[in-house]
Amino acid sequence: MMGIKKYLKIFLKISIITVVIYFITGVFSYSDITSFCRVKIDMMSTRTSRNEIADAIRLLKKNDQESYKIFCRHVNRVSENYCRLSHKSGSSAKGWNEGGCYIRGSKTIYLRPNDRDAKFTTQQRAELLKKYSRASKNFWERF
Amino acid sequence: MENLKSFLDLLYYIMTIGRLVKISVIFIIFFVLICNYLFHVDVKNKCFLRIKLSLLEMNNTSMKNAIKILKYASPEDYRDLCENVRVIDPSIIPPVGCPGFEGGCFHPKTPKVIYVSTSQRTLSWTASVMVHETCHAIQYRESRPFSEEECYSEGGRILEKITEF
Repeated sequence: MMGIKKYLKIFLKISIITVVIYFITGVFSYSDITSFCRVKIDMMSTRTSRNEIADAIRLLKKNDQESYKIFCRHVNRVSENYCRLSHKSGSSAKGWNEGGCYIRGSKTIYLRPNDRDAKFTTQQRAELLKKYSRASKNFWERF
Repeated sequence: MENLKSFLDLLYYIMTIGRLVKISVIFIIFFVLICNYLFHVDVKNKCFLRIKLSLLEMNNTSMKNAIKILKYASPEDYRDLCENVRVIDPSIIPPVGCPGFEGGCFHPKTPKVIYVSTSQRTLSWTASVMVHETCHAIQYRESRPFSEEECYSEGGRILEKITEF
């Protein structure tokens, strides 16, 4: 009886620690336990909130389950970042004005931050996530 | 009574062994995690890279992910990296004479080392800096002039190769 109580206490402690760690790391991620989906969200600026990107993912889930599954399987990180194609920066640099891109060799999607030149709606971001998660799927299917 | 004593001795022996096994397993897991964080080992492609610890950005994972990008998206650049570089130093404070933040550096005094001081958020840029600095390492190895134009061009090339719109 004493032995069972001891193991139950240990199990409870480990469970509490696991849940706490999960919620702490979840602050910087999108998590959907029901779909076993967890995607890290990196923010670059204060103009776009982590919630806006998470909203775009939820919209994708609501509108297109198939694409959402592809997104969960083939994307592990969404970074708010400019898609640079040279060492130059700024709006005159190649790729800078694109809404987003997929980084081959990874499971990372970049989404352009909102700035004075461009603001993206949740629907637009959801479409970009759909497009680039398919690009990731197409890349990794080769291996 | 003697049987009971033998049984208790055996039980104590098993518990001691069990404790040793637990400690060994924890130690092995810890050791493997540390090695995974500080080294890139690819036996099949004969690639062994040491990644120094970056305390300021804690971005060793970024370095590893950038190496992975090169491995899968540009095998030729990955091969060049593996053949010409032994150590990647992600320190934000490279040696004197080397520019730092969000860039990279190559110093002829340490020809097998490249300094890549990029932040955690810029994965594709990190891969580009690695290719740029590897380009300098190749120039040094081939006793060619130190040309930034050539290596900026290489960095731009890899960015175009790995970025899909």
